Amino acid sequence: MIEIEFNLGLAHRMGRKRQTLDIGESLSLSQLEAKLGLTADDVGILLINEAWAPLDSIIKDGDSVKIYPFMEGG
Amino acid sequence: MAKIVRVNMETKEIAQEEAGLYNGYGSRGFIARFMNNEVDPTCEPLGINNKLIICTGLLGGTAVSSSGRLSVGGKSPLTNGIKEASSGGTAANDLARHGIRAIIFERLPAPDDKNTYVLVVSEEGIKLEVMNELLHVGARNTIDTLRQKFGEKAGVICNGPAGEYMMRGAGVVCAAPKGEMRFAARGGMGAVMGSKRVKAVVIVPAVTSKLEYFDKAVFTEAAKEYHQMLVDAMPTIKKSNQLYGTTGMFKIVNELGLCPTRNFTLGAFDKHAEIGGEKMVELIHARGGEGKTGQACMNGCMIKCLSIFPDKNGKTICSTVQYENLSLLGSNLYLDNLDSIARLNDKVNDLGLDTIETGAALGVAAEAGQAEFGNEESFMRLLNEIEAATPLGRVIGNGVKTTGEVFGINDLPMSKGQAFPGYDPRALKGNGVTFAMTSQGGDHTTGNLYGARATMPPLACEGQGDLSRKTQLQMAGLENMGFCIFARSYLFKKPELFTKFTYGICGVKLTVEEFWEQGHETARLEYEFNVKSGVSPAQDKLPEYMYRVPLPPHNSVFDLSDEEMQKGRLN
Repeated sequence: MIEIEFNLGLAHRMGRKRQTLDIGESLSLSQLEAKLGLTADDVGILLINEAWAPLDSIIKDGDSVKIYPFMEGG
Repeated sequence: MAKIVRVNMETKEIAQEEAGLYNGYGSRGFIARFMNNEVDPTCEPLGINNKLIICTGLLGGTAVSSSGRLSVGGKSPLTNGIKEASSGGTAANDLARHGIRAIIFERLPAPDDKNTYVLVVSEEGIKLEVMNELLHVGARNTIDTLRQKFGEKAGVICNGPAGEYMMRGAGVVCAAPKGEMRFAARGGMGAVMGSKRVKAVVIVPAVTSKLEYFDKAVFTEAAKEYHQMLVDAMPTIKKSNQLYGTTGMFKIVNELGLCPTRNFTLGAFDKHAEIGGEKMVELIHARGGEGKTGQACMNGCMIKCLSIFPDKNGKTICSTVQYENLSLLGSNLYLDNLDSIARLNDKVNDLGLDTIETGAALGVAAEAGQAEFGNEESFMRLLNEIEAATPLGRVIGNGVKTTGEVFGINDLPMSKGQAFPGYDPRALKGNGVTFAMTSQGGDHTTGNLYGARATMPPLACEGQGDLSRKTQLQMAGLENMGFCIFARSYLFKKPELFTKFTYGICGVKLTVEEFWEQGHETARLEYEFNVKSGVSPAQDKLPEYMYRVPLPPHNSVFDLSDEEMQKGRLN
């Protein structure tokens, strides 16, 4: 089981801020995106267990995952 | 061909000429070339030989979304090097529809000429008016007064009192459609405007646009293609840009531990949820009244990131609170209340100050015991000192470097004398390369690696130099056109649009490679100007404390090698 947090526009799109998901032992981000109905363009930044993670990370059972959309500017 | 207007503030002569050798250049591209051709790099920034350049991008005045940014440039009194600062607002589109690419203010009024001048552009011509009643008037009332006099739709570029007092932290204000304030904030261009005693430029909209297209069909085809990309992305734009503007980044920047907090001593604010974008949008919608999200700061913009933040009674406190305001006036001052940040933000705006420079200076002032972190009133008191132009106010209004020097604080968040924006380079190391190496001083707009956060580990030491270089090159190209950074992600997917736009508007035919090379040439010219002005590569560095003092929560220091840093110099 992993915990997922959707942030900003993604929370509006998903209609929820958080969810848990049974992923078995592990899965890739693209596999997770497919399960959630998202595409690669939807994920701007990924945090696993509160730390920055590359987009080719493997997500393991028990992880906490935060997904942010791509944001520009500042 | 677009026109250049020259206004001699000594003789009050106004002359117009064809863009000539500047055809094909706008915004930062125009300023880099103009400064190298016409301005003595050794001139005094607030002296008679500096010039204040106000110019549009190449696409100013067209119906292309998010392309009407205004650039303000000259030699910076903060960095002593070249500066281009850009702003939203309506003025660039208004100027371009009068057929004007740039207005150049030259020389200084005679010493006994104490008048306050407003340049008025209308169908009747271009003239300087004396409006001494506007001397030291706040930016908000200045905009209101000018719109009452010249019409509600008049474009306004103006200076606040800080710029008139020639404080180096002053920016130039550009009004949005309903008079909201946007800023060409950085580099002290408001002080340059103040040195020339120019309070404002007013543009009464042209009855019919005098903008010329070289090949309208090519231009329109490119515009359609670009707009379709925005239409396709509209569900996302509505849920991101139109709700949060740039404030959505605040939470992520905190999560990554790179958010300036308590005078750049921490990288994350424990109360970030109280002042982040999600909280801001929640309050705007709950309070209602004049509060709004999703407003356009430029006519025709489809991205619409401007918001109006209201108080508990629904009355406007500030338009618009954006990411830099939250970080430099919020977490950096340890303020955990959006109302406090909005009130300080509005005051900073009304004084015509750069929120980044001033927020950083206030943080240093608090470190020196002149204010109390987390106490809005103590910071407002310092802003009131700026308004009254007291010695203390002048110190802080002159920015982070002066404030640190006067109060004996040596560890200052700045590069080349200009304050860092809302990214601590110890935890976003690529931005350290940009801040140190760009000719524009501590300025993220020349190449913010935050946008590459998905592909580059923020704390990595390898690859940051090349990535900074690539991003700086991209931005130098983008900034020739007058595009907002929010348009970047769409346009960079189809860079051939840049070449079609350029050809369609002014007939200059470029390959995509030549377009990027043009941006590189802009950066090279900026570097050349700086070297001649005395801002040598020896100043391409970050403050020493950032190499030595760890930044929580990662406890990282800035530790890129010199070799890595050199990759980010565009010479």
